[in-house]
Amino acid sequence: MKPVTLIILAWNRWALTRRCLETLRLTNLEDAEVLVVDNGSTDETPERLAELDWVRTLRLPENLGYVRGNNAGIDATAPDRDVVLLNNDLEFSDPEWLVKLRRAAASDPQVGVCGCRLVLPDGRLLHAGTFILPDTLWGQQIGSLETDVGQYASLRRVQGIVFAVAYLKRDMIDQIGGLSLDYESYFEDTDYCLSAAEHGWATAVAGDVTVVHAEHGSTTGDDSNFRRLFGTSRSVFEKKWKRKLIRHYRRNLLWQSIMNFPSGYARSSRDLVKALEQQGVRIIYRYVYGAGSPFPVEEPEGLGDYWLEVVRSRDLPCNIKTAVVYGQGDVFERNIGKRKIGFTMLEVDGFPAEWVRQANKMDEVWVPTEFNRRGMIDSGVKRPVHVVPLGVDPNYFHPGIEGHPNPYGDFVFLANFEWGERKEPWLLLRAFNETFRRDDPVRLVCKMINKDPGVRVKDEIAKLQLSERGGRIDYLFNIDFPHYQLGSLYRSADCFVSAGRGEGWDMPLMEAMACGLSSIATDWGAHEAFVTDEISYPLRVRGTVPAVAKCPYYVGFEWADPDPDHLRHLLRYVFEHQDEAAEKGRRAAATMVARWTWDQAAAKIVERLEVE
Amino acid sequence: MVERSLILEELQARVAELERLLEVRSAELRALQRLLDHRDLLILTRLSLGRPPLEGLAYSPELWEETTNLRRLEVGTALDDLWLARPTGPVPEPVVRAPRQPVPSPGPELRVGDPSGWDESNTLDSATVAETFGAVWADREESER
Repeated sequence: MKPVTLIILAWNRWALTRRCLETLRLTNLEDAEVLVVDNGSTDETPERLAELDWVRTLRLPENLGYVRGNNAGIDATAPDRDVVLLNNDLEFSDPEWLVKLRRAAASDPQVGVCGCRLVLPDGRLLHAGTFILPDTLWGQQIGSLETDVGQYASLRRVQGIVFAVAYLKRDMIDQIGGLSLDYESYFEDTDYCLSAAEHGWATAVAGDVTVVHAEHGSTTGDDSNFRRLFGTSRSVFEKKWKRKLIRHYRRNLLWQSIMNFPSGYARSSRDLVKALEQQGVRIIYRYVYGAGSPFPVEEPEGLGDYWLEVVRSRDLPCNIKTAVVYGQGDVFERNIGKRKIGFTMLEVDGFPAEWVRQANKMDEVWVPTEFNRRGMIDSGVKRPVHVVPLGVDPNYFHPGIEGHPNPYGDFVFLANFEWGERKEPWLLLRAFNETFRRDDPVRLVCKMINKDPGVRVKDEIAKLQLSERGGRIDYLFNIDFPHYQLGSLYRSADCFVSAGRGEGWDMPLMEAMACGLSSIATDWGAHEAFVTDEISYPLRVRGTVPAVAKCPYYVGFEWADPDPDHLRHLLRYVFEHQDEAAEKGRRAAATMVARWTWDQAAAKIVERLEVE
Repeated sequence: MVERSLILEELQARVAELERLLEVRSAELRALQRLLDHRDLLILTRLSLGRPPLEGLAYSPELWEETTNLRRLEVGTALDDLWLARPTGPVPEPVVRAPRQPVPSPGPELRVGDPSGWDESNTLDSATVAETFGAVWADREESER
């Protein structure tokens, strides 16, 4: 690794610079020199800097702006040194931040620019990389303003970073120079990352480095100046990069689906759309339900996700070639593409006649599992049926996510389900209550939802006549947690239980496994795709039974009959073999990130799209 | 000597006043126990301990409000609250208690819900509430068995 020069650009506001330097000095600065570029400050900054013998100062005669100021610093460094650009409104709390940042940058020779996680002083995440879409040219910070639960903890390649903290390799600087003089301030960082990419250098974020950033400290209180700088730079950026950003997309795809409801289809649809966009598929989204459909409800506005809002606002081109309907099979007919693809799943061992009729009008059908592929074919689908798996987002579901463990040291089983026949919660509640005693150091936490006004869950639970002296059960009833925080829920438990009768995929189970939890899961249906003895505790089924439920799609089909004796055995076994269970959880996390991510799911879709 | 006897008298008067206030407070709590249900008692205890009220969030079926509406909450907030509200421990062993003695009324009967019956001067301190309601729940669990 080359030695580094830390370049801190300062313009007035000495208190900020002093705080930055004070916290910086407490960190490990081995092989690093600190260069403060005083951008023509008129306050006490020059005098105070002169008092610091551990800091080299470059005094500029006037404020040259962010770009020229930083370039002056780069020019003032020795030619054998890498450079780290730093804002002066940073605070450093991790003593090893620089060691980790250098290590991350060095770990991948293709990485030329390396940033880090930035958090606000109140602890919220501010930045884990950036993206910019050609539709709006409005740069966005990934993860911005989310509660920091430890998301984006790995070293990831990104489109861009903000240069509040930017490690720049010398070899790259020698090749492409300093920041572009086309900008005075703003957009120069995204411009630099895109230029680096054109020269073969990747941009990454070191997820194990977190620095506090009091955003826009150097321009706070001067809104008109901010707007002027931002507007001018945006125009320059548009001329330079818009066409190139458009060319990132290799194809258009009409995605007819659902995104803004609390459902599994909507959740997975959002993740798939973003993963496809990142793989060069330009998505045009249209809501597939609404008036005239089996779900005649209009989709609410306000997705709360900038990228998806842009996707939703795109016009429908007249020459759209391929369209995917991702939803229940009775809306396949709404596909308006020339090449029609229907993508669906179901929790029972076959598909309704209406779904089959509509599936046979598709050019091809996608399902997430071999279980569903068999069901499609057995039900009479004659069109090609391909397995396109779903996935999990390892940025939000990984073992490093911060949990809130039980402070009494109880072993915590967790279940996450909607009350109803398919999830059959009474099986788990009874089994748990019967398996343990109230004073055993173990509890079951059920995060459960009931949307059926005809059901009173408290009455249903009362009917179970659970023993007061049996295993303790806590309920998180009808609470809507932000999806990005669910990893934090999983990390607060030790074992996830999914003991229902059938699944089309089971994202909660997969997300819990990605978080490193051990799991007990019914050995039937979609679980067969990823639940194995190596990484989970498959729950035996006694066979299949008629799928009796309110859902009309299940009529005439069967689903699993999980074995309650085996469930009781597994609950007890996991509790008594916690080390073994933890090891399975670790293997599960590794398997999820290796095989079952949204990126891999999107890659499979791209592969299918390329087969014209 | 005169000064010491004055001090003694003053202290005795203060003790008498404290005993009177304690009786008033005890009567209030007995009235609350009679008039409020388990959920209300829990909410009152939480408020007195500086915790937010339960609202739609509760961890056992008898306490939650049956609804199909979802409530937005941070995971950390919910779990920290859950662990605090549901500490680990066995069911308390039955406690043999002396029969309750009727408490002499300190004045007009406390009418919960009617502000004219409230004694604004006697606020409940958190330790007393927690201790008293803990005994209330133990009594209830005992009677339910």
